[in-house]
Amino acid sequence: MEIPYTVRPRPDTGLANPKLGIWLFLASEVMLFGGLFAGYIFMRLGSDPWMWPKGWLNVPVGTFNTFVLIASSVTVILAWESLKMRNLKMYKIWLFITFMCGLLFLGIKLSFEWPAKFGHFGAYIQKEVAHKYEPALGNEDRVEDGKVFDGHLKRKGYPRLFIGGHLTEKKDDPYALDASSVPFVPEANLDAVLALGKDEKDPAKKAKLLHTREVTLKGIVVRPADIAELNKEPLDPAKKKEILQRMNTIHFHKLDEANGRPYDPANDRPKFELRPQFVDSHLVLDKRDLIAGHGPLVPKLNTYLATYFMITGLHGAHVLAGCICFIYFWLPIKGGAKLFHTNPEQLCNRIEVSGLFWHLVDLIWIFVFPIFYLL
Amino acid sequence: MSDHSATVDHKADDHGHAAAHGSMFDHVKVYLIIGALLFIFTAITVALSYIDFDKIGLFIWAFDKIGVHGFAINIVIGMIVATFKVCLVGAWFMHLKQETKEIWRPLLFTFFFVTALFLLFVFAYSDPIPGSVHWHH
Amino acid sequence: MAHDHAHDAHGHHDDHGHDDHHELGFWRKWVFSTDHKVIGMQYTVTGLAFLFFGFCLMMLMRWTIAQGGATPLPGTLGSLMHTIFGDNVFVEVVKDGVKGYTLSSQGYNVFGAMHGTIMVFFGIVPIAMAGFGNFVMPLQIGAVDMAFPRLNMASFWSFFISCIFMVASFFVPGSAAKSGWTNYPPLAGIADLPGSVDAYGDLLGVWTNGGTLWLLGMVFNITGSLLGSINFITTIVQLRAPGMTWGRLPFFCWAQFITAYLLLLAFPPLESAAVMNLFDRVFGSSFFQPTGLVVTQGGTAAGLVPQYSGGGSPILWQHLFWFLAHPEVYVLILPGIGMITEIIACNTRKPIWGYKAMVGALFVLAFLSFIVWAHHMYMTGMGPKVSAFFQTTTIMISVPSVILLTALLLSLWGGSIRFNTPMLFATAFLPMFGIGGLTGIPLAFNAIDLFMHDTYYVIAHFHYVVAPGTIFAIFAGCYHWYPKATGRFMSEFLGKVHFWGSLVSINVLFFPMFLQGMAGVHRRWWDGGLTYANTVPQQYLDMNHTVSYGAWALGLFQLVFIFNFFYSIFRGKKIPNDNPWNATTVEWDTPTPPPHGNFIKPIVVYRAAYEYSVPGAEKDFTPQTEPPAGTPPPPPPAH
Ligand code: HEM
Ligand SMILES: [Cu+2]
Repeated sequence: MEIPYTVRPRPDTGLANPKLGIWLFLASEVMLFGGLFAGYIFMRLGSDPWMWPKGWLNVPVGTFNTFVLIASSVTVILAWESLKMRNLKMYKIWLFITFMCGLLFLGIKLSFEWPAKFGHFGAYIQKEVAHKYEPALGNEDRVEDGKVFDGHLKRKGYPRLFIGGHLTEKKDDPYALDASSVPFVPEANLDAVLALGKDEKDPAKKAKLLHTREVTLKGIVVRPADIAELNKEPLDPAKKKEILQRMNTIHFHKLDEANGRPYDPANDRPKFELRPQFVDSHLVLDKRDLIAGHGPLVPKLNTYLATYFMITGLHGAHVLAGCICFIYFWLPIKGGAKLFHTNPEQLCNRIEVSGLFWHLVDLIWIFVFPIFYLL
Repeated sequence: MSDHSATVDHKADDHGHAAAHGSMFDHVKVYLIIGALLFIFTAITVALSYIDFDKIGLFIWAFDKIGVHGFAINIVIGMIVATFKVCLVGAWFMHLKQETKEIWRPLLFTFFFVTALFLLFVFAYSDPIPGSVHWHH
Repeated sequence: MAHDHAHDAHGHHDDHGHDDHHELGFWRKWVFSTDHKVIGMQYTVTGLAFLFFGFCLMMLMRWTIAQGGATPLPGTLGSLMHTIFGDNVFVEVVKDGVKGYTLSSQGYNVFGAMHGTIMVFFGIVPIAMAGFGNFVMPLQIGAVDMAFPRLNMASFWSFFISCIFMVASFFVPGSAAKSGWTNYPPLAGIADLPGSVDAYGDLLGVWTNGGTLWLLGMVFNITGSLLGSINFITTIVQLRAPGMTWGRLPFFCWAQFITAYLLLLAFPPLESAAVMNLFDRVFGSSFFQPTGLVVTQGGTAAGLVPQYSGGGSPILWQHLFWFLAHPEVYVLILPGIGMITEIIACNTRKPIWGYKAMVGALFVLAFLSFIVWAHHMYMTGMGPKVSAFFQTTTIMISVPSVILLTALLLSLWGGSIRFNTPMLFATAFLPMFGIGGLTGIPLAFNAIDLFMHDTYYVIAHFHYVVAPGTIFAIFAGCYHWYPKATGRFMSEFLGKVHFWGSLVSINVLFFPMFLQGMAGVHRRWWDGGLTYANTVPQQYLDMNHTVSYGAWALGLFQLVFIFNFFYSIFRGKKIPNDNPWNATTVEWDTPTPPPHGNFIKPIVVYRAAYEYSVPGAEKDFTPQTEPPAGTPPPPPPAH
């Protein structure tokens, strides 16, 4: 049994099956990313303006990655053209370059761009208490449009409520990353946890309660050493106070430029050229003053990062899929470059189809780049 | 000869060779030009994002006509450039210029529905009953 | 295999991959098969199993609704269920000194959510679209198989993985998803997470809970559907036999074609929504979590603030969900209408009335179904302009629906109808679907819907379209195509018992729901309204008993079908020839059961799909492959 038109086009439709198949797939991809972008639109329209950041991503690196992807779009076509010329050598060269471009793109994304976000800590201050952190926010200087203040250019904008930087404790504290996103713990709550299992007589029930206590403490307390301290009987009140204090504050030792030099107007918009990122300066945040979800720059922090990681993540998965296809068609195996000797027409189709997919990936990036990096 | 019909035209020719594809270098030239244009327009997109269009009288005036103000002007302009780039990729790299109607038809519907998705979302968002769940501010 | 030399008469052959003449082993033939017929049967059987499972969940829910949640289940049923589903779902209750187990309120939520999910995504779509579509459609267009057989297999296995996720989700701590088949956030974003509000440390628990597994299952289910729909469309466009022009395409194939497009373009936004919801659950993002959400846990630890930054929109989920789910309701009904059309044409021995209008109606319906979704969201507080828009498009979409129904009704006119079991189901389909469709029209109006929304009226509306509608169509299809798949008829006598029993009990089941709904009975009262007893006249709550008896009776009659289905494989009456119903379409032009590769002669199509009772013809049916008098036989295959 043979399926007709797997390689040659059907005369009345002018299409071979894979070609139609891939275009239908691309149509569904357009709808998929359509859904994601619709999510972006909703998130952006719905977020409070001061919560939608600008200039958090590295524009030069993003631009470079865009160039890489465009270049790979050209090379994949050249690979296809070479194949149509039955030039195996050039085909392999161009396809390999395409593959390497894909890897380079992913490499930059995964080894540089994303980790740079994970290592960075940030928090939104609740509006009502922003004045406490005025020295790092610089809102007094950010006046309404139309007024000239302090000899500076007119500046406007929503109040700055974001504080970012590196944590003091991070170096020697393996739990800092989790701990920084834990909410404020009132003393009463801590007491309630510590009381778990205290007066229980039944040993089985007691063990269970003690276990719950251990788990809960792990959830809200910074260090294992602190847990041991808290479990001591009797508990030293001064020690307990100290631990509570530690649980309920965040210490920055390097602040973002924007927070370290809040009155510098240059910090109000993203810059293309590289500038120093951090300013050495110590700042203590009280967790009560923060909006939930504070911590490293991950999807939890705000909806901008959530959409950023989701869309670039899914896009990256597509890049990876494309790379796998290309290396498969490049290797001298039955479904790959070896096909050149038995059925070059089919190999040609395969490159055309995967090329179409690759262009779609490129095309999506053309939208992703401005909406996250620039606008 | 269009590069698409290449496979159609030569179905008798199993191991078709260069002779049948004499115009290849023209194609390559076109692809390189499009690639170069994409590079240039990427640079333009980046450059445009550093211009405050809402400070420039002409743009304020023109975009006011379609109800776009403030930073949204930058967004609209950025999206126009991106759409242009996407058209270049679609028309030349993906050969939509020479594609058959079997391909075009479903794509037209797809574009229509994506647009409907965006526009109706924004429409639904922009017409809330005050005090309802839709009402954010 | 004897018929492997059968091949297309399309003129030329691709110079690759040569035939496998060897017999395939059991695993390749029946489990990891690439044959569209086997895959179709795999889908159908899996789907029927899920349909029954989903139905059983509902029968248990009906007990709770009728008995107000405080009466133990009869006999040992309760303790059996408790053993299977665990403490979270079944609780111990005592009534009149009798101790036993019944569904808890949480368990009711689990069963409610899973009933809907299973029926829609794991029952009807796999059977009506993937099952019958796979089995019948390539045969009807004269194709040797689907365009991408391996992709077809991948679709099924993707679907199968999603089945495993869904079934497994019953057995994780806290049991399966509880937020309805529509999975509305914010509940769907936080329910069942370990610690419920913030998930520290318990990485495994974040992934293995009802809500997360539901989303993972849906991602696989959607992926399978997308791959399947690509395959369906490509097959219909590319693999039609010579002479099978679009105008000669059987209506069932048209319905499958349009349905595949609906799935292809409507499902991806739900897939993106599912991914966003997964992000919310496992990474703590706030796509659907609004600012300032406060959660109470089990009614005790009040006022917990979840660790979300907020700023998301629960409404966004509703938009993305209904962008799929309205087209989805047409995915549910169109394959059914397709099957009914085939069966009506065959059993009235008449061409379908208004074939072209019906095809046109399909297109209009499909197009409009993408821009009506927000009629499910009138209650979310959207403004008058948006409401007016969606109300208008919704009313417009009822026009093509009515065209389809009218054409089918008129097709009955003047026929000498052969009332066998498939035709009985097909005939009953028409008024039942009619009731369902017509009761949708009031709902289209914002003003009425604000009252009716989330009442039993809506439940009755859509169940009339899907239960005595699509599911009857599925039964009709089973009885109709069973002889082609097995070489035997299903028992007519048992079939008629099944039909009459189902028809009566299904109306006892669903009709009172209209009245209840108009009286204001809410669709999600787990105790049948006991808690809200004084808000609704008691006589409407009493109807819960009638409805439940209807449900259980319906369940009883399905046993007849199940018995018939298996019994007839071995004992059913053998079919006299390959075309036992004297039908015109090409699927009857194959050996029975059709071999791998389907046809043993080259298929060329010469005429339209339903040439029944052609004046002057000697038989009352003229198969599509029968050449007009005087045509030379097709050339011998050029192998
Ligand atoms: C004649 C055309 C129809 C119209 C005007 C119509 C209208 C509506 C409206 C306005 C609703 C929302 C009610 C509410 O939640 O308040 C609704 C719900 C529903 N309809 Fe229809 N409908 C039609 C046909 C159908 C068909 C053919 C099907 C399925 C095969 C269907 C399946 C459903 C389902 C499943 C729901 C409820 C979903 C849920 O809330 O869980 N409808 N219909
Ligand atoms: Cu609807």
